[in-house]
Amino acid sequence: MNILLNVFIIIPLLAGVLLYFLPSKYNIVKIIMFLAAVSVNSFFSVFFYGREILFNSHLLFRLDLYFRYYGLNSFMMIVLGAAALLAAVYAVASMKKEKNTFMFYAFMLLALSFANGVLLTDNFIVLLLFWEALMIPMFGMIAAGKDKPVWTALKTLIISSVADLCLMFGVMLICAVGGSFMISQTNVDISQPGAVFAFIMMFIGAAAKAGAMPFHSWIPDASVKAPLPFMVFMVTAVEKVLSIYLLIRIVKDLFVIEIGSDISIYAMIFGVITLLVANMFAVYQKDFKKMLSYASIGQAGYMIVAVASLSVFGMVAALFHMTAHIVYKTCLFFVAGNIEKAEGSTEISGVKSNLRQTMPYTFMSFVLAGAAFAGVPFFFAFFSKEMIYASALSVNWAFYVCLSIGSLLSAVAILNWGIKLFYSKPKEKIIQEKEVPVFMFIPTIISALACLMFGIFNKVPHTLVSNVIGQVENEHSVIITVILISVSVLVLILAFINNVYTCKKRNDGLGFIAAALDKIKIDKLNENIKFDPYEIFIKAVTKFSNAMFNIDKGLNYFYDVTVPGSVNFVSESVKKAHTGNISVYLLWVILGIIFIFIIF
Amino acid sequence: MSFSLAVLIPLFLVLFFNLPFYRISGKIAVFIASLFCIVQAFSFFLPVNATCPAVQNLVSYFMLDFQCDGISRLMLLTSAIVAFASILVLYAMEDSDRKQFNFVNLILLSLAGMNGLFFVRDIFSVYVFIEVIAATSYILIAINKDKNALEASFKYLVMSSVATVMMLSSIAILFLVAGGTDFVTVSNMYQQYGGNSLVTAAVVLFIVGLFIKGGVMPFHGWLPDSYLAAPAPVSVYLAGMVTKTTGIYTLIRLFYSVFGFNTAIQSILLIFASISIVLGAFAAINQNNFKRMLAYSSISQVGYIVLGFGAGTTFGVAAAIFHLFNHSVFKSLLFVNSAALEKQVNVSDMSEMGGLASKMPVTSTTSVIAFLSTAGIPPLSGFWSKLMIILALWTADLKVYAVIAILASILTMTYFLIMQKKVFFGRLKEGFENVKEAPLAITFVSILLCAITVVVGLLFPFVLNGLINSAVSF
Repeated sequence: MNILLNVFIIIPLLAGVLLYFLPSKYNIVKIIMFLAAVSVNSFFSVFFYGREILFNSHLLFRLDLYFRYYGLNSFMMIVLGAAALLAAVYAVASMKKEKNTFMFYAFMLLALSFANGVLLTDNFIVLLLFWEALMIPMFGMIAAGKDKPVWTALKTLIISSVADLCLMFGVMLICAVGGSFMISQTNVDISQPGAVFAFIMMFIGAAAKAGAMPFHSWIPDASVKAPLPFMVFMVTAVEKVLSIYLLIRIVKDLFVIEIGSDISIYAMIFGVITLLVANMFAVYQKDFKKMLSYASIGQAGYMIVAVASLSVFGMVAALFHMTAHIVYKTCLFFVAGNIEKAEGSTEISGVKSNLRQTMPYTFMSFVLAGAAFAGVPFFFAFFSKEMIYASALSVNWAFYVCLSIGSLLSAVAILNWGIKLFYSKPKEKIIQEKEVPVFMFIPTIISALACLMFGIFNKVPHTLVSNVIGQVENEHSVIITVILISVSVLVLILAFINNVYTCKKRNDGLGFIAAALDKIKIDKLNENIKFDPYEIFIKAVTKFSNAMFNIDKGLNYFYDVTVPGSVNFVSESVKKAHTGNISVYLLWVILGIIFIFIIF
Repeated sequence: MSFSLAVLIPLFLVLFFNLPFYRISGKIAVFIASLFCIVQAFSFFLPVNATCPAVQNLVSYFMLDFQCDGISRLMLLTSAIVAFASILVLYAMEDSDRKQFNFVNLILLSLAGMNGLFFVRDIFSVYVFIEVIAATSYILIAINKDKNALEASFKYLVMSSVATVMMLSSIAILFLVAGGTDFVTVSNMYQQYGGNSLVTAAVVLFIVGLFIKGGVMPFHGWLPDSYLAAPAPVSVYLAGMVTKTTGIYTLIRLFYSVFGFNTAIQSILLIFASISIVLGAFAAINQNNFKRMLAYSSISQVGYIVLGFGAGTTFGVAAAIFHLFNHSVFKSLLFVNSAALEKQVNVSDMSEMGGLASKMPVTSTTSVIAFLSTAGIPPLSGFWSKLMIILALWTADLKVYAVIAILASILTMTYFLIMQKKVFFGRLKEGFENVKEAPLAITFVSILLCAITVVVGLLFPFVLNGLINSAVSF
């Protein structure tokens, strides 16, 4: 048994199981165990960084199940470990008094273990096993929410399982086409028969994990119902990390695809649609957490576009953006959690006081993370976004335009919420509210500062990411860089003007882009949940089952009424024919003889 | 020649019973007759050619062309079982010594005719033995001399006469053409002149005659009435043996040993068998009288036998013979059950009965097993024979008829379930609180026949090898 396996998979797993079954009088021990397990994980993810290890686990029946620890997944594990640590500290601080706290901790450790398993394994089957196993903690963590939102958890489970089915199918195909279960030995040319289908299936499965449309609709629901650390750890970190990891593996290692081929264009269109629609929805949300979750879906679109551009540059951009996104989105979710703690709600109507004064640290964190989110220069996400723009532009300018529109929308959304949360006039008398407990805002501030620090010292993450993926050969020309930056700044200015305009004219905070959005009637689509594929699916299923029920009723009628009726009728007629009159019987005999002679 | 004893002993027994100036009592006659049945049943297990010279000398005075094969032996066993059942039911049902005596005499006579029919190898002798059986049957049906019985007996007489005329004219034509009536001569002739229209007419007339005797639809008019009107022990004997022997066994014997198959004969057999199966089952569904329902069920099951036989292969013949044996056993069992009901409840209308399972556990259990066997539920014997019939049809590429056979099983299930529900299940009807189980003789017979059904079903592989495969090697 290798130490990596112990540290990254076995320890969190055992800690999680132990935590679940320990009696409640050891609560302090449980909390310490939880934090220790997460810390150990984060520590070793940094400790082992830079090594390359291939080992055979002999995990099951002495099968050759190889695990591979190398550049890409070691980086992913650092990101995951950091997010897990922040989320764990925040969870311990914020979920003290809730009922299912320890269930949540246990499942979070399980999720960490399984996610590490997905990253480490070099075997398709084991990958699928861990990937599917993640469903269990996912369900458990959502169900650990305040009102036991089992239905939301079920919705998540159903949507994810559809996506996972695609992945399973794709893995099956690629194993058949590539002829090996080893991920590192698989390298399939896309022109091989069946390879395209395998690619599509695996791509859908991986992208759906990040919340790509139409597999997104559980995220906004979960954002309201599930505990906040779930949104930070699962939706923001684990799902994105695993999704981007697998996407990069797919386009980089598993398939050989030419840059600019049709399938890459289609994949990019898929990403663009996700980001545009999700950002439009995000603009309209009335709940901060919901807005964040839609924005999260939109950011997944950016990453998909970058990966699907197939260039090394694009992959670096995607990985970079993923890291940035995890940092600022974590911070924004923490902000949302803090506000919820203070105000009891993150809906617009729920905000009663002037949070700028009562919660200065939270406000400061929001400003930093929001700036990163909007793509303000010298913040973390600014560079990653520029890189994604560049990679999109290198394929087609139309993608670039769409991405810019998406950025405009997300900038508008975050500015709008900033004004609403922190600059609106208090509706009631100011109740003397305090800043949240210290362990809640420490993670908030750390992630907020990270947005700034990594923005200024952007060489650090850039180098890390480049080391992992590979050096970018051709940097873009200065002119293009200048154009990109100026367009981004222009977009920000537009968003700012839009919100200033809003302050004067409109109340909904959408400004002049609202007119454009109204025309598409995006709000109605959203509010009637007509766009939720899950609801559509469930409706269809209901209709189908009703139809089946009716058919069944018809069949029952056939069996209960028609068949016995006709049998009875025939039976009665045969009975009546037997009158007991011997001449009739003799007549039958004669008829029978005639019939026989006809046959001969 | 020792199988002639099967004919001679009952004849001598009848003579012995009716010696002038000395008449034995009915009870002793019953005892002797049932003993004879047991001996006959066990003779099935004796080797075929075991002879003793004294007996040979005795028998050689009678110039009968007797031969024995597996089918004959199996039929000998069957007739012994059914006759035994019938005699025991008689013992339980009839109190009058005179009636017992008469009945035993008639049944022994009939048995003599029947056993002769199994061994005889001459179409005229076949006719003679059929008539012996028929003559005793007329009397047996009308033995109680009530109005219905007499009417039923008369119907049987009229229809049988039609059959007799047909068979006799057929034999006449065949004799005319072949110059002899033994099987070999007729068979040789048929191979030579098979296409001749006169010969064909003769064959058809013979078939129709046998159809009337066997109660195949639409030649069955006499059958339900006589089964219904006959006294209980006679019903057992009639349904279990008489129609099956005079009609179906003879049919099988003639076409298996004499005429052979051709497509026209096959299609006649298959079509009439299918009509019997389906319409018989349909008619059984709506019957309210227990025995009448059984009568129509009998017609339906006869259809199965003819259908299996009509497959035209030796496997089909084996299936038919096996189903004949099974049917004799479980239909006798059902008629024994009906006798039990008749004796204990004295109501013949099924809708007036109900909930009798609690009062008559043996009768109800054995009837359930008999009906399951009839419907073809594994592992009972009826399942295997039906399976063989269906397989025979399927392998002979007569898949439509195989499907009909399978679907008609559902109808079989239907009418028997209706019967079970009406008679044995459900709530006990008023007035039946004091009903008791049938007398020992009847329950003993029920259990015996039920045991045969179950054991033959469970030991099917041995039965297939030892019993059927020796009768008809396929």
